[in-house]
Amino acid sequence: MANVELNAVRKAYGTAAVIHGVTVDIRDGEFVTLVGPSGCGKSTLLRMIAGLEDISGGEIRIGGRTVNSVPPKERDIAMVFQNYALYPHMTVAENMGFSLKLKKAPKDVREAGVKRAAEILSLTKLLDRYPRELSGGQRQRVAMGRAIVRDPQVFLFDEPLSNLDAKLRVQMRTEIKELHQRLKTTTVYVTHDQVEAMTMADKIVVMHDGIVEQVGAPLELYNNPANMFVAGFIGSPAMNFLKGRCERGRFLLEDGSVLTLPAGLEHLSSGAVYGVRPEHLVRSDGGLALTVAVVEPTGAETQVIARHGSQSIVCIFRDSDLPQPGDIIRVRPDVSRVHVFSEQDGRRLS
Amino acid sequence: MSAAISSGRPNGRIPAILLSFIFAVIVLGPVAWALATSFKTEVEAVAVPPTLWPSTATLENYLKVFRDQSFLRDFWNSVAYSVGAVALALLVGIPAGYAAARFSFKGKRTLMLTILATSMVPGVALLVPTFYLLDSIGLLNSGIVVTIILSARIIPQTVWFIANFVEAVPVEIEDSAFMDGANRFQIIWHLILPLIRPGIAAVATIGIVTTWNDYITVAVFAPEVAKRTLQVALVNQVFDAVGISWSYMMAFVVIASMPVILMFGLVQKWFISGLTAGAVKG
Amino acid sequence: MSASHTQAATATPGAGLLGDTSDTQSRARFSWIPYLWFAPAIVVLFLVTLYPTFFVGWLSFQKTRYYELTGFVGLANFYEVFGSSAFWNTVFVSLAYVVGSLAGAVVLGMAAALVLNNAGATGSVLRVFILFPWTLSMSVVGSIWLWLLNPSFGPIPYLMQAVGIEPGLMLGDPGLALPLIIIVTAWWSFPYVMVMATAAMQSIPKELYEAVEIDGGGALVKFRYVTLTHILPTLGSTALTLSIMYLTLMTLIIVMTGGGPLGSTTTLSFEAFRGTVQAVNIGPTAVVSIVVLLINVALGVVYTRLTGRVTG
Repeated sequence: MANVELNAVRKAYGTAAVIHGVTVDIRDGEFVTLVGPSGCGKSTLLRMIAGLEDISGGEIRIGGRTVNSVPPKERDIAMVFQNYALYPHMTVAENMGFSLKLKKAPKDVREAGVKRAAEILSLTKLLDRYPRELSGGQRQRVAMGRAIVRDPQVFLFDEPLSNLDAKLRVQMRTEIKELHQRLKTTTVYVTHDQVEAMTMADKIVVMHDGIVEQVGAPLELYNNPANMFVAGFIGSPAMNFLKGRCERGRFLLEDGSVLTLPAGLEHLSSGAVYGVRPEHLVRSDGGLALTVAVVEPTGAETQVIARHGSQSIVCIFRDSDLPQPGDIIRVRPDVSRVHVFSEQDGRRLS
Repeated sequence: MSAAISSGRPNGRIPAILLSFIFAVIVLGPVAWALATSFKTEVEAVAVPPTLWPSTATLENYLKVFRDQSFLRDFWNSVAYSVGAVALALLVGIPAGYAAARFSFKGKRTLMLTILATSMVPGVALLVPTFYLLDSIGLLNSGIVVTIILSARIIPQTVWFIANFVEAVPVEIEDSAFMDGANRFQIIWHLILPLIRPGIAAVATIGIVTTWNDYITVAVFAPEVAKRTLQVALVNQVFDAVGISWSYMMAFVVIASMPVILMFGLVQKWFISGLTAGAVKG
Repeated sequence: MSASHTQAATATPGAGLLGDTSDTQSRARFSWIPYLWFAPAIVVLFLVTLYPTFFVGWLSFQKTRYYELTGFVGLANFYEVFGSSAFWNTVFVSLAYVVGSLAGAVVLGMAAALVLNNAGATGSVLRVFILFPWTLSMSVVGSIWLWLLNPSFGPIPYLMQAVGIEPGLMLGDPGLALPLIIIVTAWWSFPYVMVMATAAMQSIPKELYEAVEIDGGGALVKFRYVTLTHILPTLGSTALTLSIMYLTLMTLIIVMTGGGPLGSTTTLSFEAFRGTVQAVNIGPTAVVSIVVLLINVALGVVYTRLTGRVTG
């Protein structure tokens, strides 16, 4: 097992830079997710850790050793690919044992390694099957099995669940997390799904346009987003952003409605963005008046999409007293959980 | 599956089925007649009125073909040229096709277009210059030279096909193997070749059929009797107008076509997929 | 090994076989390794195809006697060829042969494709059998038909006589030889059109036919607006492939007529062949070869454009 250090890592194709200096420390045994919208550079970064992409600048260290020019097979890492990348013409056992075969490991060592991994993943009965005879979840497990067989210092996952249906995704999420708790191998996991990132990670790295927006524990990002991007990306449904001005300890919306500012911003006087999560809006007489547009009950809670002037606002209510489309409801933000962001650079001010 | 124009009702199909059989008769009738003739005696073959079915079926014509002292040599030449040509085409086509699919480098476009352009140069236009060049360096009547020329005819399509097959293999599989510790040659040997085997089979089938059926290349560049193939031997009989025996010739036709027929029967799926590859644009 | 592997293996997806990769390339070190992978193929193609192609051009400017070169003559060979009526007759025969065979093959092939496609499982089985002659060599096809058309003993002249038509000399008749060769060519090649058209037809989404049905269109509308529209590009490229093939086809003519009678079946390609083996004066033969070459390359370029093999 090992830690992974990224130090001012850059990647450019010709003049087009895709990663602009990423610095992240991943501790030994940690489960870290790289999350961000597509094109943010997270997969490229993972492939650079794997050694599948050259590093244009900076340094990557695994277990204290600089690996910039070390080929993948000598980095002591294993990777699970988005489409599993199983070898279609090999059985499950052959797939899992391929790396050992290439290392010219003796047959009994190979078999023992495959057997151990198969037991961990309950694949023992499927060892003679071919990938095409497996379900999506089973293929996913074989892909992980292939990684486990190599007993690497670091696991890399590249969006491993995105080809599965919703139900299986949740199940495999749990399995991967359990696996990590059992093997305690340092894991770097790339996903574009913030729910996956939140539920699985010890630490989340939020990326956007080739830079790291914020690094932190899941709830830290949820509670204290560094900027509007992280605030909007983490949490589902996304945070509501209301444009307006801070003036004399109050927040004025464009139509003149007034919202309470969190503590510490009494002296601020400038244009700003008021951020409040849907789940932090409560119905309250005398609150902000909203016209209900769409009501989406999901059972445990109800999502209400409403309008305030031209602004669309999403609220989540847990009570059973549902409004109807066209109703006027009044809501008040929970001020202790509200964030105010700079209008210029999106930094959090509160 | 079906692009049916009439509705799918079974009895709506009867006219189509009848017409289909008419097409089959048009196509297979002449072949069947040749086959029937090959079992007739020399006399019956030229009887007037012609008989449809041999009245006394005989294998004599086939035995005569096999007993001919040059038959084995002609047959061996046919096998050697076509197998050799296809083997060579794969040997040079697989690396080029793989590189075209997986490497990016300056001049790749030019290289691939050059290869494509060579496929547009017809063999007939090169008869004179090639004959002249071979003659001047004393390489006429060389089996190896004929094999290489035949091979060059199928190399362009081999390269393009292999490139397309390799492109269809997800690159992640190679990444994965690379991380498993495989080098480039192990990746090709353990992964790419097994995975594109159907494609290779299609290319090889078409290549064998093309080269086996060649007459011109061998006839012009290896005119010596000892270097000729079955195809050349067959055409020479046609020229030998005086002694022509139609039943013997039809037996020869059947034997000369047999390997290709067997191949077609065994792998007609690959054959058709090879023919239609790239035919339909989405 | 590793660095170059990495670069190569990861930069390409999406680049395509002809993709311009200048941006990924400019930064990477120059490597001659990819060229090595191409080298064997290029060497063979250079020796067998490219070099003789240049050489035939050079040859066409030489004065020749048999296979002896006796000096540079400028365009004399070209004047000689283009000034001879025999050459233009050859051009006309080639044109008639290509157009006639093409018409026959496309019409028969389309008809067979439509009919077999509507014949259910029977059609699928028969399709394989019907493709069969396509695998036969030209010498075999020629021999079979030479026998079938033999004026003395062949079954076809016999049948003609039986229905009251005087068969005459068949392939020995200057007016009949070319049409007969066209018929044989169409017979041999229409199955190819059929297979291509079938592949195209089977790629048409079934929903399109259902949509026409719901909109109230009949079989004719379906054929005109769905089938034909969809298979036209495939049909076009198939026709080009066949044209190229017909233009360079010699063996059938060698076997069946030897270019005769009276030059009535001497195509450009046959002339190039005859000139090579007779070797009386190869300069003009080089010119004829170049004409075939240019027409072929032109058709090939059109084909490439049409199928989008290069432009994407």
